[in-house]
Amino acid sequence: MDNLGFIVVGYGLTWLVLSGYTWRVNRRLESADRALAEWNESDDRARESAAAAPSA
Amino acid sequence: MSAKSKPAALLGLVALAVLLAGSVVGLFVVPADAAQGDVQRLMYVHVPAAWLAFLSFFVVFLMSVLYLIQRDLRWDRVAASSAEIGVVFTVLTLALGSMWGKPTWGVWWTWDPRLTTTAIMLAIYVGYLAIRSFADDPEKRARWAAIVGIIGFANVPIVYLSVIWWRTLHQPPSSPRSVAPEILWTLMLNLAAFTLVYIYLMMRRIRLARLEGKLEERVAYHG
Amino acid sequence: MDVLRRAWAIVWKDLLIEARTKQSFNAMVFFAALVLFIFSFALGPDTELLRRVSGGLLWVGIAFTGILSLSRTYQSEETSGGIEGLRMYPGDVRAIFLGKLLGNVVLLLSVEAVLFPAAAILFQIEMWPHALELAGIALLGTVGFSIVGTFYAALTVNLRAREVMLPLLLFPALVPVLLGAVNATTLVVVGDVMQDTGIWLRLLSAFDVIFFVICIWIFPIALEE
Repeated sequence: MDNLGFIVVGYGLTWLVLSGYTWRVNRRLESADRALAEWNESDDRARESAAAAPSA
Repeated sequence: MSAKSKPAALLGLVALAVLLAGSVVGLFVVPADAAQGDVQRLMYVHVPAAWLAFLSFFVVFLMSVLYLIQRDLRWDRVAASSAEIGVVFTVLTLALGSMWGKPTWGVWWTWDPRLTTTAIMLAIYVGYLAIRSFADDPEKRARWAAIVGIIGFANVPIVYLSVIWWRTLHQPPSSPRSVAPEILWTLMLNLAAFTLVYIYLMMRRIRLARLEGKLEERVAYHG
Repeated sequence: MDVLRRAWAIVWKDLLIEARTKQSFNAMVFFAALVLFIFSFALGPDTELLRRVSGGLLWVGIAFTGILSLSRTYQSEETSGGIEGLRMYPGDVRAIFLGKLLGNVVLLLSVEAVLFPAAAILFQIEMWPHALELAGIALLGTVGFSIVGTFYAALTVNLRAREVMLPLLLFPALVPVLLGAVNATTLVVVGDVMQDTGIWLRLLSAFDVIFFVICIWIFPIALEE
């Protein structure tokens, strides 16, 4: 194959960029998921403690 | 709402498979172009990337208009997602253009109308994403971005026409060659692959935007 | 028409301020001339080369100078604490756009009235025989520049990074104007054998009309709270 280098870099770049971006989006999704779960937990705990100790 | 999603994962796998098929066919199955040789195989990734770059931008435009009319943040999330993905495809288009251009014409860059318009489109995309970073209020952010998205996209056809005139006045028009059917089919295959990748990425990116929107609300609410 | 009357009031006020202080005008002329000088030094004394690129150099100078003055389009309102006041402006907010647009066009055109003759001297071009055509090109190009510029200046007026955002947003949008103005000017100066100037003039006119309609239409949204 002539000009092999350019072809390899071209196709390689395509795969690298597309999978790299996919991986990044999925990573951000997981951390957003975790962050939201933590918020929900702290909300639940706050609600429980408010129910257990009503203001006098 | 969780980050996992069966439909998206399935689509992701399908997209991966079709992309793989497209690359295998483009690299090993379809015969090389008679005139350009093997380098022409880069067309099978460069052209779909360009198509998706423009499609992404068109989606940004549509969603921007929809947002300004309905003021529903859902449209803004789709627009922002398509813009981010669009930048990825646009940069890829330009890089692949250089990969194809250097061995074919001996230069890393030409002022070819389509490449030039793509470069300007990248600048417009970057401006779109930049102005989003300056607004904390979701509605203000959506409004500014929508304005930039609409004006930016409206400019693309005008830019394209003006660059064509700039480059082709006094130049003889290139004679259109008829394209061999195998080349066309391989191109279509890769175009389908890239489109599936776009849809998959959109599904994930929009979900991410929705989650981040919720997080933003929480932070704003709790102070 | 009410909108026109209010717009005229804005133009008149801004131009009176400018005529009295000549703050912007002097700085702009000086800066633009400086740009032309620097380009001449950078490109060397080859007069034939300078003649051929004079159109491009002129319009790059005009663009840089224009951007400088654009970011201060709403300054008189800002310093009197008034960008909020702009929003509460009685009547159609579009009058503001029209007024500011006209003000910017007049200011930039008056700078060009000095700049074109300066370029003629520096680059040894015969501009006088083509004065009318050049004036037409200058008008179409300046209007196009000012339409998008006035609009984006309003959008970025409250941003801290205005100096960066305004050029970033503006220059990609101005590509057709630059191409049209530069090519038309060059053809007029160097000689238009194939009568191509018309195409560029049509491009400029189309751009001006299209973006005037779009910008004045969505201007109220740009100023929303």
